[in-house]
Amino acid sequence: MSAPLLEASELLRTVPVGGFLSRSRRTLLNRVSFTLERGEIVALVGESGSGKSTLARVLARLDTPDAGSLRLGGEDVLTVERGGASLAYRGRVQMVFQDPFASLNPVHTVAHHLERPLLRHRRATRASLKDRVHALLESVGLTPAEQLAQRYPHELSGGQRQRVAVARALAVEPDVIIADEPTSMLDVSTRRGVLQLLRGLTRERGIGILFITHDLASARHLADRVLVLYAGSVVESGKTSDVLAAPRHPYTRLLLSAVPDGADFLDTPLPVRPATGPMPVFGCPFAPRCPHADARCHSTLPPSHVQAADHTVRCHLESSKGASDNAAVPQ
Amino acid sequence: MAYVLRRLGFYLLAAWASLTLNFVIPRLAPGDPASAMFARFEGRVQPEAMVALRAAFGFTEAPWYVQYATYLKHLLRGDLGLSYAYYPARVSEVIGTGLLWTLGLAGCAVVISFTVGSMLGVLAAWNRGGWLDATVAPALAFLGAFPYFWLAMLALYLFGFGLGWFPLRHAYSHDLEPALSFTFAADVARHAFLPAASIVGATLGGWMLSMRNTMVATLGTDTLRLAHAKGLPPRQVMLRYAARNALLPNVTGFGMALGFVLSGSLLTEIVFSYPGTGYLLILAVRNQDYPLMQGLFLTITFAVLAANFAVDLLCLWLDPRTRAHG
Amino acid sequence: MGDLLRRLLRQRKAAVGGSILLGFIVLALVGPWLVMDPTDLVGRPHQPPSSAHWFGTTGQGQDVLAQTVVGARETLAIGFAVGALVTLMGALIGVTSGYLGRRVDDVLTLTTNVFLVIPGLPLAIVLGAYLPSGPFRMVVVLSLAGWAWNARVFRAEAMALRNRDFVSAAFVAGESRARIVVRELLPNMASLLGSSFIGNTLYAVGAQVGLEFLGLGDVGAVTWGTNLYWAGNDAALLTRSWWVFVPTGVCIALVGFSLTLLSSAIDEVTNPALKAPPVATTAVRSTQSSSADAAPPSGALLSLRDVCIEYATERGPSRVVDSVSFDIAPGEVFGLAGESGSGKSTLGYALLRLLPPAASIPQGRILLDGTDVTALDETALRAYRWSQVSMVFQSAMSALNPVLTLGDQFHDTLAAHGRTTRAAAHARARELLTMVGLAPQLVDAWPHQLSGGMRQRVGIALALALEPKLVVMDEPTTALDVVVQKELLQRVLELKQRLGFAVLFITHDLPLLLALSNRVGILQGGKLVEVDTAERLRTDARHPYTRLLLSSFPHLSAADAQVPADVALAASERTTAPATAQGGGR
Repeated sequence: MSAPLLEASELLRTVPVGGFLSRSRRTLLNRVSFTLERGEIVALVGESGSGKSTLARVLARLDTPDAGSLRLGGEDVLTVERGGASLAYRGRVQMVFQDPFASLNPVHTVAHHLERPLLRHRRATRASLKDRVHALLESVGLTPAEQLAQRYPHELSGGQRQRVAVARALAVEPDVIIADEPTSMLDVSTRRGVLQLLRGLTRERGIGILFITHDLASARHLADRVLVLYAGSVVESGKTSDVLAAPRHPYTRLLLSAVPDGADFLDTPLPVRPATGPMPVFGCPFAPRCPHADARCHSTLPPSHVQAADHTVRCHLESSKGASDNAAVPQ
Repeated sequence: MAYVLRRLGFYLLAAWASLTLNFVIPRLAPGDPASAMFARFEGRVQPEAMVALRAAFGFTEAPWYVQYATYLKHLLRGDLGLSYAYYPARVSEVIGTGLLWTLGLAGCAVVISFTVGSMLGVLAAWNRGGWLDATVAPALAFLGAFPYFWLAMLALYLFGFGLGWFPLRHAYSHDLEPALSFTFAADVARHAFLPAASIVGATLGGWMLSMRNTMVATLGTDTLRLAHAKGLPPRQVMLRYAARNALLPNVTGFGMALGFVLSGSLLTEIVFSYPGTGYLLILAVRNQDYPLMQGLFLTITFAVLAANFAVDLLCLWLDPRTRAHG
Repeated sequence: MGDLLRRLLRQRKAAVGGSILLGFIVLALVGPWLVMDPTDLVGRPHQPPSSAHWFGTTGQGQDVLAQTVVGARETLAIGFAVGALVTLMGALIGVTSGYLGRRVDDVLTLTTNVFLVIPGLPLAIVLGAYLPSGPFRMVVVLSLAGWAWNARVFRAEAMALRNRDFVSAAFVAGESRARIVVRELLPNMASLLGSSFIGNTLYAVGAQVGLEFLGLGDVGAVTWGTNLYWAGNDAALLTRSWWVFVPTGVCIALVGFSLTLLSSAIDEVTNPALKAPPVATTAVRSTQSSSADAAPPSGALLSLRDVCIEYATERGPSRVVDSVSFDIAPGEVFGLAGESGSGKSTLGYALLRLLPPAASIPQGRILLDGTDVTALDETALRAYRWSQVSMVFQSAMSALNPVLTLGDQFHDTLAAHGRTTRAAAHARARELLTMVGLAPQLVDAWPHQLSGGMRQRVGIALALALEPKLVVMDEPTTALDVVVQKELLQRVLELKQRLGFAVLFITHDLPLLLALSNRVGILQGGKLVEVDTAERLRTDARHPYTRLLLSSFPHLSAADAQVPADVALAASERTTAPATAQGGGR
């Protein structure tokens, strides 16, 4: 079996908290592992503070993890490129940011935003530059390209800006795109268009997309596989249809029950209890809010249980049900 | 509490930095200002006394760290050296009373100016485009464009020399003995009025404008919208919701501007021959009295640092968020 | 940058300030050739203005006019030089500090703050005393004493820009650090550079004049500062020779004033909030109403009839809400859905008459229990607000007053609508906090001590304090996570059941609205395009825009295939672009 396109294993990221003499650290990412294949969309779902944006920044090499490895096409890039990402990495892994109002520089034209990566990564010559820019704009559905290329970001709508941001990521002909909540700042009627655009990219060009979102419904709509992140840990992962149709982890069930979908969504109670204490240091991070938590959950970190092919759940309840318990447990 | 200690630590550091600057500047200066300085003593003092004098000023052949240690030791004892202009008086004695006059004059003027200016700013922003905003604000801004001391000259010319309403110089009449009496206090107030008024005039516009601008920004926030939505009386919305929040950044700005305003008021003192540190400063400059200059620099700096610390404590009292961070 | 200049030119302040400054620059450049030698002793000392000496003579017998004109040259030259140098130093240190961060930042920030609290003039004097005399000394001394403030400002700006996504995006695109600073960061600082340069020049002229007045300048040179120094030395006041110091002072003030005007003009252009907005002219309200203005159906709590809302802009009135009519029954939840720019929030604010001064309601009636809200006078309006209709804002985060405890904010509210004591108000606050599921002890807490979800609960408790008949909720859950959102909404429905208030719920989230509301109205571009019960809209929406909105939300359960409407979607996005683009300016 050939190496996955992008493989993260055991990524750990902590930040210091308190004054500069304090030595305590908060864990943003707690040994996160996943793989992304060519032509695949993996959704990373979590609430604010779950660490999903930290993971995006680590993968885009805007941030360095404390531990863990990141392999691109089998090559351990964190070890090889200690001083920061190489141009080659940047040429293969691109990112689309959440806020298209902030991710485009107000002083530059649309054309400038696309020309720079084309030139920097030698994807176009000076002579072919203009045609390439126009082709890129057309490929993300921005026409007439000649006109739009000369505009400044503030002359575009939110949806158009996000399309420019996608075009900028496409300019380097990447293998991986990390899309950090690409639609949450957009008007609802333009969101679907941007999602369709991303879907099309995986189909036509075989680009692997890590789609970061807080919205389970759009994850279901778009992604092949889904990872559910809670407090920096992946609590459940698997095929989107499996995870969302038969969620195993209490947190996934909680999230699903809170999605405003269907007439009776406000009539069903939330499967959660008010947080009863701080997050345990060694146990399951969800334990204080989990309606099923027992003493074990507060004291030991549950192992990853493999449910079915590719469907893993990190919860003690799984082992008490006698489910297959063959996953390797770190520590 | 941690916040207070942190700020205190910072001011101690700043104090140390200014001490060190004071030590380094004369020694890094091109040429040999020390020799130039001692050259002025030549003929006045016995040649053998020169060596002792150099030692007294701290310019010895010893390596710099020994000199630095001696310098710090002297300072800890409150010894700022000997004044040339008032030789052989100690600099600390010369500065002593002057500092009190300066703090009294500049302190009152600054506090009055900040209070009145902020209130005007609140009113101007509240009635945006009204007469206060449209006429008084630009007029005060124009007044603020004059150098402080020039306004002082004009005020002295018009109200002192011209109309004769106010005394022309000094902090109190020379026929009065300083005493804790009403007559003396009234006399001091009469002497302080013109200099204080000229400082207030020069700075009022600045405070008003900055308060107006933060207030305008505050008026656009949801806090204000909610206050209006709740049907609160306008006066309460203006003072308790808008002004109270707009004041916070301005108090911080007030601390920052203290040094600047104090500098300006020193020049005002010169115009009125007010016996404060400003007047000593010009004496020091004219006589090239380096020890006095340096002593004044340190004294004024320490006064400003102390005032800044007081402003920090005020912020702590005004803003619950700072209290939480500490 | 070009855009900035163009907007500046349209500004009256900038025009006046710029002309004065330009005048002085021309005077400084050519003036010295037009007047006599300012150092020549041309007449008797202290002569008042005459035809020979228009501004009189100094205490030495020199021509005051010549001194004033010639003084402009060195004063302005040093002023601009120091202004530029200080700006450069500040920008360099500030940007380095803000951009590199960490240790470098710690050290540089500490140094900057130390220099910031050391008073400038005494430092300048000590520095000046030890440096050889000359214009160069003045530049060095003033730059060293004045750079700190700029470094602080530039650092803050660099920090803010560094965290902007376009910088991260440039990194991801593979740009080098140097290029990011030069091409991405610096162009965004153009206006800051401009206003700093002006501010620093202002500082430099003032400080320079002050130092020279002290005698720390080159007393042999002719500058505005030395003019005043000699005026003081030659006892201009004692001899009543006002003409010796007045012209120079007025020149300094004019230059200073022109710089102040310019900097305030730049502030206004880059921060439009400071400029007074156009105020809506009290529009003629059409007394004659359209036929739709029949008596509201009996039993309606709130009736909107043909309500139009206009914003006064420089290009004339712009209508953001256009002939909107709907009713809300007592105890009903009415949902208002729309995208940004649809006018949904404006409409919500209009119910409490909370519109900004630029907005007006030229037409239509808002009836609450039969009272026309648009016709209330100031006192009646204050009594009506909160007791009849209250509001929950999108960000309780910024809506609560940060410097008052929750209890005091409840007290203010209760006291504005009737007599109450502090103790009674706090007791009521505890009761209300408990009602929304918060600990009653929080009555003594400050807003910053609460999480976002808790603050929104406080917002709801506050809204129910006077038991109003209607609560307007403007996107109260948009900033919250879905779990917190559901908890909050369930609480709202439960309280509504108990207390019987009606709700106008405003959001862009149509699925949420359909689950929450009895009836829903769809706003598009200020027009209410469809109003119906939630059930009917879910299955049987008529208006194409409603159907478009509905199809924009992917569902969790239903097998929604790839909707073929995608082409139509892209098309609609293009047509709505100009409207949304307006709101997107910097």
